[in-house]
Amino acid sequence: MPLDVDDEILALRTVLRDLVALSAIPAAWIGREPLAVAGGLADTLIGLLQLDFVSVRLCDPRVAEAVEATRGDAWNAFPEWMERYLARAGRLSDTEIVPGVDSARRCRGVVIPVGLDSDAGVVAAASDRADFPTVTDQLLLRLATNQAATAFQNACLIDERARAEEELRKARNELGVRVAEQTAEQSALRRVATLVARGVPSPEVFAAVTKEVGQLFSAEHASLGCYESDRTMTVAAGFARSGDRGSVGLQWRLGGKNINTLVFDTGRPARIDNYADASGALGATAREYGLGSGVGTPVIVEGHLWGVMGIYSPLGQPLPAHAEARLASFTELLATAIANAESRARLAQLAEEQAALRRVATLVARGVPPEDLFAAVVYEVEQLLPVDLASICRYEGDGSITFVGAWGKAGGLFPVGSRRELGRNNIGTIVLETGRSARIDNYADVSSGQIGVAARQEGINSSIGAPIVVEGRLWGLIAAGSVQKQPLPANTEARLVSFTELLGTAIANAESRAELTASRARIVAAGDDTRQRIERDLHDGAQQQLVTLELELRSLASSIPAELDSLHTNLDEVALGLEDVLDELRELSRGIHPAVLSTGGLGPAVKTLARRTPIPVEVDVRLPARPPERIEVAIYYVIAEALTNVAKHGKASVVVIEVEALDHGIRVLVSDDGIGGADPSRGSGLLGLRDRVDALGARMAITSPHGEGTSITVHFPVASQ
Amino acid sequence: MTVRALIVDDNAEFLGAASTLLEGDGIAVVGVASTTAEALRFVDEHDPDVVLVDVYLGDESGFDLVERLSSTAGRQRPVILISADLEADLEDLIAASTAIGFVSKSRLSADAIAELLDRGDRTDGLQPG
Repeated sequence: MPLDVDDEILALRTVLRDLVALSAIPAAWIGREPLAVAGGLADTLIGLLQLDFVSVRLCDPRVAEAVEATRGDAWNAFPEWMERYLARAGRLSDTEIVPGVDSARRCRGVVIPVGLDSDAGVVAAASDRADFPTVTDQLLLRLATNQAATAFQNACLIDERARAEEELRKARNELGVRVAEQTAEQSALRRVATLVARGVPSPEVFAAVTKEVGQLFSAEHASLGCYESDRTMTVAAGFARSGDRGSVGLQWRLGGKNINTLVFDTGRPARIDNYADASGALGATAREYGLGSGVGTPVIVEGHLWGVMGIYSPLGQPLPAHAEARLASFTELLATAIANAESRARLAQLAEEQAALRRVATLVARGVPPEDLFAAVVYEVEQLLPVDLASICRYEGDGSITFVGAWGKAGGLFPVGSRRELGRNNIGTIVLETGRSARIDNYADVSSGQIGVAARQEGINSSIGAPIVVEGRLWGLIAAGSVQKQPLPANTEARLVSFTELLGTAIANAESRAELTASRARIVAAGDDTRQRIERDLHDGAQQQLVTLELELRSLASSIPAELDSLHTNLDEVALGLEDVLDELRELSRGIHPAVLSTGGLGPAVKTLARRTPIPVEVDVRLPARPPERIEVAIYYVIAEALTNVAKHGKASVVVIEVEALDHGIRVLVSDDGIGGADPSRGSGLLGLRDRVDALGARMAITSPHGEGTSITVHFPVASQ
Repeated sequence: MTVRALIVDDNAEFLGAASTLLEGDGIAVVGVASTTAEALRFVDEHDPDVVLVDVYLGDESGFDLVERLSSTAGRQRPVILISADLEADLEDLIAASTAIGFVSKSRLSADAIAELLDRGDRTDGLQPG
């Protein structure tokens, strides 16, 4: 029938037109979001096929949520119907026609799966058209659905790409933030490292590091604490964003649940994210400050736990997860600074010590008198060590000690030369009993005995002593004490040891020298005693006998008759001979020991010497009293020897002799105006004089320039009586 | 008039020889003593005209005895120092003492004593008291 053909052609044209329209879907929907695609498809289908309802559900298995668009408002239970149907039907593999979708059974529906087994979605349509769905309807629906699915995939891909780009941007941003963070950290570290390298004193470094750390982490509060030995912590530096809390120097008792205690107990980093349940003095205070979370890392200096660096944020702002690691870089720098400072301090201490020891050793080598050496050692010890008093004591054999050197408080407590009893609990007694170094750290509590009580009253709290050993025996000790509450550092006794060794050597030297001098004096004295004895014996013995003999001879001679001339002459000759012998004996006697010296003292003796000298001698002897015998004899021999030399070599015209008393001594001068050039090493007389003079601890000076005469001066020390 | 003399010396042999010599020379040695105590006692009891004192009386000093002798009795008693040593050796001590002079033991004689006594008489009254 021609009408049918026209209708068919018209219908075909319509279909073609629709097909073309539908095939434009993907192109039209490029760049649109998935939901827009679904919506667009639904709109197109409703318009194209005059549907009453359409529901498009598209999903991308990669994306969690499906998109859905429903159009048509004649019957609002359509979506429910579709859910029920889908639930009942499960997975669709092919188009399905549903005869009556609504309760009135006016509409017929079509459900078309999108993708394999409807895994990409479902399109459902319903219409009350009698012929719905025609083949054309189904064709168009299927086509539209496929196109839409493709468009949807594209949209999803585009969406994904957009999301990926967004994530990339976010990641780049985050990286940027991280880099900025790192840069800030590096700058802060660099600033701190500069301070450390410059050797700035520690309190400055502490404050600088704490501030950098506080600012870097934008912390509310940051603090550096130093651990003490008795479970306390002293604040070394503090930072607070809201202004200085003035915490430096405060001491806190550790304990309870808080950062500083945790680090102390474990030696590792610690974190508290909620101070609500913190405890202990530190924890409570943190809560008071409104701190919410805290992170702390240990400061480990050369293997031992020195302290802790803690940062705290306000309530509700927990610190970032990597804060411990970043904080560690700073605490490591800090540990280096502290180690450096401690090394430098140790080196400086060592250098000071060496200098002090060197000074003392110089004195020892010079052989200064012991009292001067003791005073010097006590002074150096007091300067070098953190002590308030230092003293050197000698053990007497009877359980007492004599203070031979004292400085500082000791000078008033135990003046040089004072003696105290040993016994009970004090340093001097312990060193005597053990022969080793000793220490008492709570003097106030445990010391006793004469010395202990006196020291305690002065406030001495911690005291140490080191023994002085002279040639293998315990001679005495160096003792030092401090009034501080803190005990003296553990190495203080060891630092005293070098001084005790120097002292031991010096004392041994002094004792040897003293013994040597004493033995020389004894030898000289023995010689003098012998001489005196010989002289006495000569005088009392041989001389007297000769004198008596001579008298008897003269008596005999006078009883002989005058006529026996030759007998007289002979007897006279014998008498003269006896006189000669007597003279020789007298001469011998005088050389051995001048009797007039013992009897009359230096005045008459020197005048006699002067008279016997061929050259004019001016004598000026001014002594208030006779000096001790040894010195008197020595003075006589000095003058006698000097006069002998002048007479023999000097070629002088006058000799001057002066003997005068000075404070603590006697000065003897013999000077002539002869040719000079006297050499003590060439004449044994002057050499022997030196021995005698040295043995008495006197000093002899000989000045004898050529052509200008000779002058001998001797200074005899005389102990005040 | 014979001079009456006391000799003080710690050596017995010398006392003997000196006594013999002086007696032979015309001086009456009325006594000898060996110590200060003996000498002082003798002087008290016998009042000799002159006392010869040895400078060295063992442990005692002859010079001391000289001073003690001159401070006893109302008048100045002449004391002469004697010694085995020479005068030159003891000059200052002798000059400082109140003895009227010194005679060396080997030169001991009545003449020496007389000479000193004369000198002493002539300057009597001008002696330091």
